[in-house]
Amino acid sequence: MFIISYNTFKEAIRQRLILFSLLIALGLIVASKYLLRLDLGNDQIKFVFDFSSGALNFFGIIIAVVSTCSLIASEIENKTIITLLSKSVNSVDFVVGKYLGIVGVLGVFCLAVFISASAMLWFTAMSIDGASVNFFALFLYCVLQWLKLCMCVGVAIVICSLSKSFLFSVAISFMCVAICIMGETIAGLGGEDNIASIVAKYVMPNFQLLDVSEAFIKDNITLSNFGLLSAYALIYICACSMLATFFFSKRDF
Amino acid sequence: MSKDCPIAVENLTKYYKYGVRGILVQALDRVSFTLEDNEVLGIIGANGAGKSTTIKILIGAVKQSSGECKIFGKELSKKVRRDIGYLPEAPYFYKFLTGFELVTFYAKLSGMSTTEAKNSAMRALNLVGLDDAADRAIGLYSKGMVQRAGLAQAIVHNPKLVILDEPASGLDPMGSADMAEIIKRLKADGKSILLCSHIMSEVETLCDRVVVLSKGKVAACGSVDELLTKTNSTEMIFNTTDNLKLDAIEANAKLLGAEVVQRKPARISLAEFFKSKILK
Repeated sequence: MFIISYNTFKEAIRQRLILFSLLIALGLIVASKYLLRLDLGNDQIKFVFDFSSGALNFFGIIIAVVSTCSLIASEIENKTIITLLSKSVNSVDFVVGKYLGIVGVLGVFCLAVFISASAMLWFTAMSIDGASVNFFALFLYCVLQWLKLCMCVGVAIVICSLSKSFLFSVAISFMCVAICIMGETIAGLGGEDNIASIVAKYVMPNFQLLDVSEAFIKDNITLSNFGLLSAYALIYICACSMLATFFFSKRDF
Repeated sequence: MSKDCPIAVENLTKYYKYGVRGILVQALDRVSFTLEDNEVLGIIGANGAGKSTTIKILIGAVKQSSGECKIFGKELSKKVRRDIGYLPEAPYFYKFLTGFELVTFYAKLSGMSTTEAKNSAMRALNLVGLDDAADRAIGLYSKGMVQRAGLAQAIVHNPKLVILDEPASGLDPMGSADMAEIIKRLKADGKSILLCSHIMSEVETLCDRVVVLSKGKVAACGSVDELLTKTNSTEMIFNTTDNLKLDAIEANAKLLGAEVVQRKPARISLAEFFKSKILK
């Protein structure tokens, strides 16, 4: 399992998309301080934080979905999965190994964003009298966003376990992630007794719960809140892994 | 059939579902055969005969619809897979890895420790003649080199059973001859080999027994000699081109009541000719 995850990590960090997304995200975070003049009188620290948070979420989701689909679909399309399965590897090793490799890459991405966002927030706070930044809260926020991206990976892995084509997997995964991002908002759109609304409300993970940027600004991310939200994410991550493993174990390659 | 023979397949049947309506297409129809210890068994058949499906079922990449498939007398499991080496048809590997990294990766997946895997990887690459290119990325390998790397990953963990799907595909005659030598060496090392190939000369030379698949069924099964020997004729090769001598031999044969069916100058195969030119 760890051999597969290390190999997946190595394969993922060589993908141009990930490097490109990371560079743009970091570039945007660094540029946020110089784009402050576009802000119309809002809190400068909030502006830099929102910029960093936006870059983390936007590029993080792109990396999570596209790299998951490409890494798994390419194994199936190129039939490297057959050679893997001929070794001492089962579907649990394959799914969890791939999962760990991709979330490892996302961990590096989130860490890089956390470091650059901390630096930019520190510079911004330095230029304002009496302003301070709670770096621990920022760290907890980044961890929660990383867990959210891990849930995106989970959703994409389940889709990949059912599909044969890379494009189909990417399209459906982005659709599902969009539903998760809209959370309860989308549940109300189709009426209470609509099956799609019920699935969106009760089956799909609700990413709005993990969107705690307001709590960061108001400095009230508590450890108990963090623990509950982490548990919520971990339950979905485990459920997605189990579901994907089940589908892979039933599948012919 | 010995109880714990490397492969025992009985009444293997496979249906694939196609399309939205799930139309069933039968790929295998009650296929049965065995591979005995230290034997080379060839599977031959036309495209779509069910060769690849049979192999995929054996390694667990495809589930059979019915029938039984035992490896060393056991159901396929993680532990049993450690005794299997598999070379896929037209192998495709991670291009970013070097040959050495690739073979080490598969050795580790077969349960070897890092040090053990690295030593075995070097040995396997040496055996297939890729030791000089071990540090080169797979993306820079030629088709033949990828095939050799595929064979190296199949044998790196010293499996008791080696399954080769079109091992000579993409190889030039020299490469095919090298591959045949490696297969002979594997047999000499006591391994059991299942060889699936379109190259009939390769199967004829290397295999002890052959299974012929046709439309998902076993059309024939037996030793190469059993299947190919003509019971009513004999071939003789004379080391002469002197027509007078040959006429006399033919006349004598007729006197003895034998019919000479064919008389033509002996010739070597194009593959042998090519090899002789390359070796010069």
